[in-house]
Amino acid sequence: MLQGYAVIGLMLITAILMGSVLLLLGRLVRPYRPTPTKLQPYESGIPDVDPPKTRYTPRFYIVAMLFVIFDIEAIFLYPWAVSFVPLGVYGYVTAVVFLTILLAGLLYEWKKGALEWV
Amino acid sequence: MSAEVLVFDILGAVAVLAAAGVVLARKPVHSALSLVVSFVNVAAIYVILRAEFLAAAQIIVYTGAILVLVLFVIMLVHPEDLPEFHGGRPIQRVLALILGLVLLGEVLAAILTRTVVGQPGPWSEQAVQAVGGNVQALGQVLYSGYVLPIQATALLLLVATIGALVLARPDSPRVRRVARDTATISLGHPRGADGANGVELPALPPVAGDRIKPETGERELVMAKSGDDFLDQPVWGERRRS
Amino acid sequence: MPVVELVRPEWGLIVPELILLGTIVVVLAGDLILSRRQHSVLTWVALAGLALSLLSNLTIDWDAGRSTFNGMFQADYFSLFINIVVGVAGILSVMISSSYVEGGEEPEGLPWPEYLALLLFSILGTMLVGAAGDLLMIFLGIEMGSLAVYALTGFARRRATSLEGALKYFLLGAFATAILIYGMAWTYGATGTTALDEIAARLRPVITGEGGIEASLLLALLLLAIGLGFKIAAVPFHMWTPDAYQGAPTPVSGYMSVVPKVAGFAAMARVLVQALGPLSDSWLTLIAILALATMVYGNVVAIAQRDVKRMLGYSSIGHTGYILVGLAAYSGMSADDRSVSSVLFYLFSYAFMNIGAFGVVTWLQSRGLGVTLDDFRGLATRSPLAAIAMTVFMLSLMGLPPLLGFYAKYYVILAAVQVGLIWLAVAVVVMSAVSAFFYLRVVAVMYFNEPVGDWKTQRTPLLGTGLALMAIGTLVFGLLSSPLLDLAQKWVQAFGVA
Repeated sequence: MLQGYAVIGLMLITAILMGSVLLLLGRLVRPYRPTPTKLQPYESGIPDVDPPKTRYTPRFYIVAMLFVIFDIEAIFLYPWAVSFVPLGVYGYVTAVVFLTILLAGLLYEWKKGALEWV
Repeated sequence: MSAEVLVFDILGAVAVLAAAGVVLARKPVHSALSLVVSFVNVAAIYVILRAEFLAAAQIIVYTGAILVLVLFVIMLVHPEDLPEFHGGRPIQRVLALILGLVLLGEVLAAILTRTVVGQPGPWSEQAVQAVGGNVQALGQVLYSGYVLPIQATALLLLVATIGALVLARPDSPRVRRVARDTATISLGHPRGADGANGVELPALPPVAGDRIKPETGERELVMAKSGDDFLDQPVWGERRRS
Repeated sequence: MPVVELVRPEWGLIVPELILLGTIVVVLAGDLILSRRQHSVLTWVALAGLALSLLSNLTIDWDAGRSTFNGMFQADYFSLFINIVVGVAGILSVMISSSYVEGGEEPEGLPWPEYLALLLFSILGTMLVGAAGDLLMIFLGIEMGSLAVYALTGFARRRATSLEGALKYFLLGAFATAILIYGMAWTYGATGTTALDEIAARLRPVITGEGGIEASLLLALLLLAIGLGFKIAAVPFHMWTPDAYQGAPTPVSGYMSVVPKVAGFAAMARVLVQALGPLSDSWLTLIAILALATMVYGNVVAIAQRDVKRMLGYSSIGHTGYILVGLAAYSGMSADDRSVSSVLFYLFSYAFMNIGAFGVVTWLQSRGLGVTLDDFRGLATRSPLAAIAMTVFMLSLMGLPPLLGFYAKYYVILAAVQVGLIWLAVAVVVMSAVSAFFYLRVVAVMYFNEPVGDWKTQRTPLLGTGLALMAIGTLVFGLLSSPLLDLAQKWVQAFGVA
C-alpha cells in the first residue's frame, strides 16, 4: 500500500530536480554585473529612507496562536468523523463536549476583544 | 522491503541534518526553514510506519500552524533586540557535549539491547485494515477509551487560549508606548528586586550618554545561575566584552 | 476485529473536578458579564467553588478505590489526599491574592478574573494528576497545571522581572516536558501500555527473571525522573526557580511553590511507585542522591539572599529535598511503608507554611514596603500580628516543634530511618539547623531592628483572615497530625499492596 506514496516521492524528486536544474542553468547562462544601484530594492525609485524595521504587532501572534489551537481541534475531529457510525451517540456526545469547550474559548476571546483589529 | 529501509534511511538522515541546521543556522528564518524540512521528513517516516493520520497531523499542525507561529514570532522581534547567540561559557559547552554524548550513548544502548517486554496491543495490521485504515482505527480508540484525555486536551487548549490572551492582549496606545521603551525582556537578570509598590526599578546602569536600546546585537546574554552571581554582570547597553 | 467498547463513565467519581470546572466556567462568564468594579464578587465564587469541591470529596466512596474512563481516572485515597491538599492550597492562595491583584500592587493592575481562572485551571490539572491512572493523564494534568502557572508567573506583564521569570520558567518547563514525554514514550515502548497498573503488572515478571533490567527501561526511568525533577525543582534541575519566584507576583510565588510541586510529587508517586514500583531498586538511589543534593544546595544558597522572595525560592528548593527523602524511603508497599504518606503529609503542611510566608510578604507590599529583608525591619512594632504570623511560618519552615513543619520533617525522618537511610535522616536534621540561619534572621530583623520606610495603612481583610487561618493551621494541624497521617497512610491501599 505504500506504492501509492511512491508517486508523491517521485513528484517531490522531480520538483527538486526541476527547480535546481533551472536555477543552475540560469546562473550559468545569464550575465552578472552588479552595481550598487542595481542592488537596491527598487532600482528606479527614490532611495530608501528607512530600513524596514517596524515591528509586527502582537496581534499577529494572537491570531496565529488561535489558528494553532483551532487547527489542533480540527485535527482531533477528523478521526471522529471517519468512524462516526461505529462510535454512534457516545462518540457524538464526546465530540460535542470537546467542541463546546473550545467554543467557550472562542466565545471568550471574541467577547474579550482579542479578535478585534484595532 | 529493502527499498523501504533505504527510503527510511534517506528520510531519517535528512531529518537529522535539517534538525542540526535548525540549531546551527545563524539567522532565525533559516532555522525555521530547516525546521520545515525536518518536519516534512518526519511526516514521511510516519507514512512508512503506516501512521498516516499522524503524518497528516504532522504536516497540518507542525509545518502548517506551528511554523506560522514561529515565523510570526521571528517577525515580532526586532533583529536588534535579539541577544547575541552564543554557546555559553567554555565549561558549559564541554559539559553540554559530555551530557549530550552520554544521553546519546544511553539511547543507543537502549536501542541495541532492546528486547520486547510488553505485548502488542489488539490493533494488529489486519485489524486496522478491517476497520478501513489508520484514521478509522484511531477514531474508534480515541473516542471510546480515551474520552477523558480528549476532554482534558480540550481544556488544555482552553488554558493555552486564556494564557496567550492574558500575556499578549493588546494594550491601549498610551501603555503601548511606555512598554516599548522600558519593558523589553532581558535574559540577563535585571538587578534589583520588585520595587516598592510594584514600580519597576530603573534597569539602566548609570552610563553617560547610553541609550535604552543597545547597539545591534551587542547586549550580553546573562543567565543567572545561582545566588547573586549576576549582580556584577552588565545587563543593558554595555558593550560585549571580548 | 476489535470491538469498540463504549463504557459509560462513572460521573460520580469525578464530582470534585466537575465542580471545579463549573466554577471556572462561572468565573469566565462573570468576567464577560460583570463590569470591572464588580469583579470582586468572583473571589467569593472561586472560594465557594473550591470549598464545594473539597466538600464533594465526601460523596465518593474512597474505600472502593474505583477507576473509571477505562482506567484513566482513579478515585482512591491517594487522589483524595491530593484533592484535599490542592483544595486547601487553592483557597489559601485565593485569599492572599485578592488584595494584591485587585489592589493594584503591580503597574497597570492585573485582571482578577483571568487570574482566578488560571489559578483554578492549575488546581484542576493537579487534581487530574493526583487521580491519573495513565501516563497520558499524568502528562495532560501536569501540562494543564504548568501552562496556567507559566501565564500566572508572567501575569504582571508591565514588569520585566515578571516576564523574565515566566520566560525562564516556560522555556525550561517546556524542555522538561519534552524529556518527560520522551521518557513516557520509552516506557510505552518497553512495556506496550500506558496504564500505570498495567505497566507494573508487566514489569513484575521481568524483574524476577534473570539478566537484570533492560537498558530501555533504565533510560525511560532516567528521563521520567529528570522531567519530573524539573517540575518539582530538584537540584540540578532547579535553575528556573529563584528567578521565577522572585519575578512572579508575590501571591503567585506562594501558589507556585506549592501546587505545581504537589503535581510533580503526585506524578512521581504515581509513575515511580505505582507504575515503576517493580524497578524501585534502580530509582531509589537516584532519588536519594537527588534529595541530598537538593536540600544541601537550597538551604546553603538561601543563606546568601537578601530578597525574601528569592530566599523563599531557595528554601523551597531545600524543602523539595526533604520531601524527596520521603520518596526515597519507599520499600515496596508493606502496610506500614511510610514513604508516600510522609510525602503527602509534608505537602499538606508545606501548603500552610509557605503560602503563609508569601502571604506576609504580600501583606508588606500592600502596605507600601518592598520584599527585601530590610523591609521586614521592625515589623513587630508596626504590626505585631503580622510579625507573629511570619514568626510562626518561619519557625514552622525551620521545623520547630510543635508546629506543623516539625511533624512533616519528623515523619519524613521516621520514614527514612525505617528503611535504614540513616545518612539521609541525619542530612535532614543538619540542613534544618542550617536553615535556622536564614529563617531566624527574618524573625530577628522583625523584632530587634528599628522600622524603616513609609508605612501606609491599608485594609486587607481577606488577606488578614487568610494569614490568620494559616498561622492557626500551622499550630493546630501539628497537634492533630495523626488522623491526617492515618489518611495519608491509606496510599498503600490505593496503590495496592504487592
